Amino acid sequence: MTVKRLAGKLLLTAAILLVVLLWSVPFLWMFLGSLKEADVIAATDLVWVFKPTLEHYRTIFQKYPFFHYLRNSVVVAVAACFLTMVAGGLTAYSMSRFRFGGAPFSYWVLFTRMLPPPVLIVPLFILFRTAGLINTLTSLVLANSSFLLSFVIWVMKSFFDEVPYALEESAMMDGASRFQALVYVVLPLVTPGMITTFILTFINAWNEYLFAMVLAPATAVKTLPVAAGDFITGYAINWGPVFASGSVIVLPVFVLSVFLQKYIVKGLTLGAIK
Amino acid sequence: MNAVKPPMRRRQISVFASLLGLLAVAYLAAACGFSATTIVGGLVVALLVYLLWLSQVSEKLFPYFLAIPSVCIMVAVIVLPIAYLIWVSLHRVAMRNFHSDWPFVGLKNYIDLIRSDPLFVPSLVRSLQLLFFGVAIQLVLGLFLALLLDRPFRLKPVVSTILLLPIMTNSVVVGMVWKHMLNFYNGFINLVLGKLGIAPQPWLTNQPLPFFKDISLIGEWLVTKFNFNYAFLSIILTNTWQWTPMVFLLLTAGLHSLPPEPFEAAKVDGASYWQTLRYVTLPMLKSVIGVVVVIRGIDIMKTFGMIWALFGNAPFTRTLNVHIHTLGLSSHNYGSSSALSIIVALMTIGLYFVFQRLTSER
Repeated sequence: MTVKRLAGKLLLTAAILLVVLLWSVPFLWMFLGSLKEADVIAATDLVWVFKPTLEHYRTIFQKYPFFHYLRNSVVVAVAACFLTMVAGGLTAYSMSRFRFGGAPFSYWVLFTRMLPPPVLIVPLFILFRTAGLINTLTSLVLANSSFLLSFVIWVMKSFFDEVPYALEESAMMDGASRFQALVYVVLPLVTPGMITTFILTFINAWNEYLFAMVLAPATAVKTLPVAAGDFITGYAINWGPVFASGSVIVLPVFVLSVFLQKYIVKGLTLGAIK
Repeated sequence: MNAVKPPMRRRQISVFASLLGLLAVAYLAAACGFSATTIVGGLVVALLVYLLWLSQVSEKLFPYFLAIPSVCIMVAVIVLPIAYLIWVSLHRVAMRNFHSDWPFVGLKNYIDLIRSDPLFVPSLVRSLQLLFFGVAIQLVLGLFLALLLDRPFRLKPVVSTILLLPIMTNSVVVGMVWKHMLNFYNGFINLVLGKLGIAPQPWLTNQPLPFFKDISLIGEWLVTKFNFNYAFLSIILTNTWQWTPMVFLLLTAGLHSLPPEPFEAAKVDGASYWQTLRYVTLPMLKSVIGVVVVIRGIDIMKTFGMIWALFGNAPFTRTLNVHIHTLGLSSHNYGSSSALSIIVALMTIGLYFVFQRLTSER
């Protein structure tokens, strides 16, 4: 009996270790790869010990304007986040409290959430080209808003639904207007939900690749994922900068994921349990 | 005399402020032309004016006022583009006539796409196969992970953090890393296989998969028509690596939401772990599994960046999404690309309702 239990425990530990290995090796491969000399990356054998170098980071930040790309990414992500959070949050509140738009509007929001982004690239490309918005950060903010907005509405609505309506009623009984009830009673209560939505929206905008590649490929407005993608879609791939730029993109997301894990998991699993 | 008259002065102030705001936007537009700065400035001013208005608006109009910004954004970046998409899909629009007339061709773009585009049917098959195999494999592995990790052990927080990271990572970066990991000469996978005494495999080519190739009668057919090749396997592998953790998260949340009583009853009755799993956990988890299938199924139809990073627009790995991009923005065949976009959009909605039907009936 005890032997059997011991064997079971060993098996479980081995399985958990295997899971950890499977899901951490690609990240380690990338981080370590970004610190390897080019000939170590190209080595046709597993190299465990090597002399780390920051050469590839120097390449992307000095030979390529990665600080500029970083700035573009931050500007687009923050602007798109701000825009969709304000607009989507208010609409979600309206849907939650007044059933704004009823079932047709919720279906519309759901429909826009399901739509694969490539569906919109041709019309957005032609329309933005006609409006002279190609290669501007504005076009990226607008294009990102299209899908982020319905995401924000969807997530925020369920957070607003969790706040009981009686609280607002009592506030209004005491003489507060609707707007005051929203600002002073409801908003403080949905702050955790707003943080969750903000993180997920920000990471989504930060990771956005397709629209950025199509609508803003010029150096002045390029975002980080597009710059990283450019290293890999050519014929000869220089792996050092690929790994370095990948690490730069992933780092802020990692920091957010580690420190705000609770909020992220809450937001991701929102739809699973009713 | 009634004491509770609405404060007229505040309302007047807001009307005045909004007029001022509109004037400011008009001035900016006139001064700098229709440029990015004007648009951003206009948006900020409009937002401020809007918030001021919102604080003054009457009870009756409040719900509608709340939705104004969203409706504006939706009209500008979703409704209008989709209407335009439908319009373009009914016209012949290509590089050659982009700056001149766009002749109306009815449904010709759709018919040509289905009848004479040699890459349409293979892309469609590939997308559906990715949907089917991807969701099935991820569901099984995710369920396995959720059940494996649903017990107290040391380092549990570390494991859940590690499993959260792939979901949050840019899929282009995931594609890049796996493109190197799957490299023939110096990729991690082949190096590890070499240590285990297995010959390196050509992961990033369209070589047929060895086992399936040799199945009699249907082997040839599977390879030529149904993507039983290394490249497609690599796509499934990468997608599974990135998204199995998502299934794990959803199912873990589902497991925690189950009521404890049936488990206690099973324990009292002396049920073994496997019996509890088979007769208590899985039946109760069914509805959550249904939701997971819907979420993953809709999500996997969006796959683009990962395939783009791994294979670009190579014809043998092209899914519908990649085909839309290539038709529209590499071949500048905007008409056909729009028609394909409409087909993909309708297909996604159709799939949603099919999934809903399949998963809710049980």
